[in-house]
Amino acid sequence: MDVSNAMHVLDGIPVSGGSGVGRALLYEETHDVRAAAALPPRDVEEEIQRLRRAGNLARDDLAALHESLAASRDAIAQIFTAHAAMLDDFMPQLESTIREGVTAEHAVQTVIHAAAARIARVKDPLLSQRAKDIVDVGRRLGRALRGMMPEGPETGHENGPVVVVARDLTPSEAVQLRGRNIAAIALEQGGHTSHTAVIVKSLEIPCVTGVEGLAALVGPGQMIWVDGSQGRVVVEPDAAAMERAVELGRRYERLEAALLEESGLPPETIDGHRAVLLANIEYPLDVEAGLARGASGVGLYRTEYLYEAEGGLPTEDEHLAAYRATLERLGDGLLTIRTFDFGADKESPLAATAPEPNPALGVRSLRWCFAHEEPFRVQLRALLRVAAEGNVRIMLPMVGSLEEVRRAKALLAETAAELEAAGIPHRADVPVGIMIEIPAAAVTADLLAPEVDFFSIGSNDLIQYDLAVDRMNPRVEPLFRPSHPSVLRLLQRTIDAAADAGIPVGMCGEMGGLSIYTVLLLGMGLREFSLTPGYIPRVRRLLRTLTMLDARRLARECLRLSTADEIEALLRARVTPIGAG
Amino acid sequence: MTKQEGESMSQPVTEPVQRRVEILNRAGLHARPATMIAIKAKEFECEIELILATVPEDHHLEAGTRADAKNSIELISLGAPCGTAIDIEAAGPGAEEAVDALARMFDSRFGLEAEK
Repeated sequence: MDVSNAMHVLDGIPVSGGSGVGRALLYEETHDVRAAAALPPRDVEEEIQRLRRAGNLARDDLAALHESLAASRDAIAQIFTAHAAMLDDFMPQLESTIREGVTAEHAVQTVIHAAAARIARVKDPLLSQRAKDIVDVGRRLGRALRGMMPEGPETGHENGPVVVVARDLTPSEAVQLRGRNIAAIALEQGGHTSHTAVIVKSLEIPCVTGVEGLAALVGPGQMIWVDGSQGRVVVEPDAAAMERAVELGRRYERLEAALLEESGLPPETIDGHRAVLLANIEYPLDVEAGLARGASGVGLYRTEYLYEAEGGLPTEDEHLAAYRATLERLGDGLLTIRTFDFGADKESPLAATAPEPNPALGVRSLRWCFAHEEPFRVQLRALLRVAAEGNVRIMLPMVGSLEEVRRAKALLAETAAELEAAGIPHRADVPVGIMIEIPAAAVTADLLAPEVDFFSIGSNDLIQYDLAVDRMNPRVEPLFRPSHPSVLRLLQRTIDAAADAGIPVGMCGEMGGLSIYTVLLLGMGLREFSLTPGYIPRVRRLLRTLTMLDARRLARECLRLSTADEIEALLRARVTPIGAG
Repeated sequence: MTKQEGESMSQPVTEPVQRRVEILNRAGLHARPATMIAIKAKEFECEIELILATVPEDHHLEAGTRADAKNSIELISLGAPCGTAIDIEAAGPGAEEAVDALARMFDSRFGLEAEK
């Protein structure tokens, strides 16, 4: 470990924009020297007091988490009650272990992490996976012992805001950073964090991932500057860099405040063409962030979190309660609910099945739903029921063929018939749309369009599959080019097919929120932008500086060019991003 | 995993009440159900134990292993997946009611899943 005072600049993948400075909070036991230390007998009582204080801190923290989530009737809140009960039940055993003459950290290791390891070895995958609850309790207590517990919504590290430094964060750990005094996040790994990235972005915390060598370089409490827009992490910034960091941070905040004031303005071009701005959300709570920025609805409501919240797949009532909580917050606004889109990350039921050699091309998403028809039907029943209560539409992810559309719609029709027979209120003709994220779907968009009610382009996966590039792999990440002529052709084909069939087409991927591509997509004919709430104000301001005439001309020029470099250069020359300079 | 020592049982010796249940919820006896049981069990004065009546193949514990129903960690540590048979055993005041209450929780899959 090289904890020197020299400035180090590390590059990673920009995941969530903005600039944040703070002291390093090491989220994992990477530097835990006390763990192995024996304890002189005279220190035992003091160590037990220390454990109890940490226990109280962890318990308060869990109670605060529970409260913040219970207010929104989030099912996930209950897991924190379980964690608090486990913490209490671990205490006697931890204390008796300390009495044997070891540190509290060592007791946590031997008692809690050993218990987790035993469960992790149980053959039944559904149960062994749940060992992570025990790990969570151990890690929380470990953080509290190191005095690194973010202590409540308003406070943070005693020395001001913190920068969370970790090898990786699970999505549930990321959720817990909500509302804490966290300046930024820097992660060493990039793999398997795509879901985490989505959450961090929705929390609007600057974040850089894939920062190689980070954990070995950073010591606890060291000053860190994270530039989430440039994908840069600066350890122990010198005076000049600090000045720049603070200046950038201030400018960013001023811009955000100014943009937020424009939330009531219509998202339309100078020549009066109106766009639709929607929010991408993860939890019912996120609706507020979207509405505050003037979103007219939700273009993507992810439902995978319902799985991790339950330690199993959700029941129909749990689905329904979550959808209703979201709909209630939204009022008359449009709510687009995406059916289960389980990927190959560790917090998914896919992790419980046999590992696949190539998960991105395996039984994920809609394919998983077809392979597990029962939980899919349960979700469809809840969707049909909630559709009777508001402006709801259903979105199917990862569609690759017309057969899949028909199969899903047939299941939906069967489910509707069951509800009808049981006399349960529902809406059988709920609009059903599909995500265009497999190149095959984009190429055959004209065949799919007549049988669905809308398209939503998932640009991240569409680009990944089109260019055969995993964006979370730092070694090939530079090849991930939204401006690749092939990507543009797939997009144009999709937009044209939707226009011909007279159905709406939107984009719920990140590409739509990047200034140069917002203009390009508008010029190509896209009208619906579903964005992480934080991006909405920028896109609105940008749209209000454009004319449709210019956007169309620019799009036509781009489509005539032959390389990603040329296209990107042209866009950069013509489009001034909001907040640049 | 026997119960903690040093507890003297001064009340009159009564036959323990025992009932066999099965773990029906898919994810087995993980943190959520285990803490639900422990919280419920603590409402009763009597001693309550859960006993592994059957174990899966290659399980790290033997059939007959006991856990204090009032301690979530002991319950989780049984590592009991879906399909495991469990004997609920209670002795002391309110034993009958305690066994009823816990058995109902198992039967209802701890409210975590719809019943078939």
